[in-house]
Amino acid sequence: MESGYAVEVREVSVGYGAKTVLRDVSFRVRRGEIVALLGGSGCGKSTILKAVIGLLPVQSGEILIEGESMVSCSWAARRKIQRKFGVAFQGGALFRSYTVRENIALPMEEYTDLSREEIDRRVREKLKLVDLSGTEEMMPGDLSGGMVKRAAVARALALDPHILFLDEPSAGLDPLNSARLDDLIRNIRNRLNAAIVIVTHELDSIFAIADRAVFLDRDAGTVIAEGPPAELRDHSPVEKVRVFLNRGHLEKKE
Amino acid sequence: MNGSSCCVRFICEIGDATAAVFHDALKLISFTGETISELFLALRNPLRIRWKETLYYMNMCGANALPISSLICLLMGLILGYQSAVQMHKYGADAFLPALVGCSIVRELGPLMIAVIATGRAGSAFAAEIATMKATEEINAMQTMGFSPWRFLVIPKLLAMICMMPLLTFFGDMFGIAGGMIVGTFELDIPVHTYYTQTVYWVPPRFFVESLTKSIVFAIIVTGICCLRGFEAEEDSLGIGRATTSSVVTSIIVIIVADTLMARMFNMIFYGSAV
Ligand SMILES: Nc1ncnc2c1ncn2[C@@H]1O[C@H](COP(=O)(O)OP(=O)(O)OP(=O)(O)O)[C@@H](O)[C@H]1O
Ligand SMILES: [Mg+2]
Repeated sequence: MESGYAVEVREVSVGYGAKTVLRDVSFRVRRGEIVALLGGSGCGKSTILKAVIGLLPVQSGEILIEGESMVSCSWAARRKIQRKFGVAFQGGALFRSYTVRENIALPMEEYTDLSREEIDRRVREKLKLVDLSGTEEMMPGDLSGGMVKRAAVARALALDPHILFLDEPSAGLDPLNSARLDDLIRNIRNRLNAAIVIVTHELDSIFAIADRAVFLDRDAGTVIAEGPPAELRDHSPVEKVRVFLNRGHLEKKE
Repeated sequence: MNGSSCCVRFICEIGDATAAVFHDALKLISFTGETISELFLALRNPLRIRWKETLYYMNMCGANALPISSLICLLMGLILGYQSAVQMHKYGADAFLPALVGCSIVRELGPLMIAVIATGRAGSAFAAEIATMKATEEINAMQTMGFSPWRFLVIPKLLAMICMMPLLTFFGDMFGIAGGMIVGTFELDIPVHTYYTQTVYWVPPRFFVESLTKSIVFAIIVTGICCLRGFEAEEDSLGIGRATTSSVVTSIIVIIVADTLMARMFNMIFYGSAV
């Protein structure tokens, strides 16, 4: 298993109904690697993520999680695969009728035999990681947008997964917290040797944490560049990618 | 030329409509299948049931609905009493008021009114809740965490409704009869004791069996349809509104249709013929 990829996406086409949003997307993520999915708003980053985590049927192609197919497997098998990863959705998607503590404790209660005290201890630990200590008994509706995002990351970490999917976890965070979240993500990678796929627009965090970037484009409808972010910024043959990674300027040209 | 293009369009529309019907039927079947299999799992292993949610819904659609349900049934009994007392008095049939009110309320109006109230109160809330959860990706999150939305969202509501609707209906029946009794006592001077014994005579226990059976069927219909509509909702605020409206409208139609069939069925059972 160590030799294989944690996440492997092979020539996947996805879309809604008859409409295809992305076609022939391929990328691979190893354990211990952080891969950023980049691209303009509406290019299909959340869409491909939804396909990878099994929420959206692919139109063609193959998705492997630790070598197991998410596409051609039974419903029960997919559920089992889904337990291997944690997901933080773009909007947080915390369960509104549960407190923050219950949100994070739920996966542990369902899938482990830990005692109540141990679960409570781990919930506090996860919340401390995302700097939300003391919010255990609050309802998600009473949290600010950035707090919801961090709580969602804490919930994704509940079972210490080896694969993490984070959809814009740092959007709407202040620079300090955004930097803290970057540290956190790097820590998780180092501690759990996790494979992390992160969707983000924050150039700082792309350069700070991503080992590789996969650049999606709306007009092309597929991957237009892939590689280490710094290299893409300076040497990508695609101008769009350089512009994006230089914050819209190409001052370093010529 | 024009005629033939018209004809083609007509055929296309028939095709589209047929496909839509099949699509809906398929969704209904898979929804029902999921619900039944999850219910079966829940009954085999009651620890799987989300008791916290179940108790919450019991309180919300049972205890909290009691005042309004009782009031409406009491008023139904009063109205029925007033309307029929006038007519019956003309023919000197005052003594049959307890029979008329008792049978109408217990066999028909009690379960029906409670079901309509439950649709408006609980059913619309179910649909809106599930549709909102869909819009905020909570259902997606549930699925990727490996939790069945049926287990978390449908089964607690279904169990709560199946437990509470018969209770509400029983209370409703009692309040309806009380409404008739008020009219009988104050307008037609029937002594309370006579009214009571007449009611007991004309409304045998098997009518309550009919009442409660209907209420269980209605509970399943309301919960099923409203949850299904919630799951089908489009993921925006308009979609949530539409899902709620259509859940209430569909539930009420299906309730009335089911009531018609059950009225006939119970007549066959009680009297051996449909009328
Ligand atoms: N439920 C849906 N039904 C139909 N089309 C959709 C749906 N969700 C998204 N789309 C379309 O798919 C495309 C990609 O959307 P997606 O949400 O994946 O973008 P994104 O890259 O995540 O954007 P952002 O950075 O703003 O989150 C968009 O053009 C959008 O209109
Ligand atoms: Mg997105």
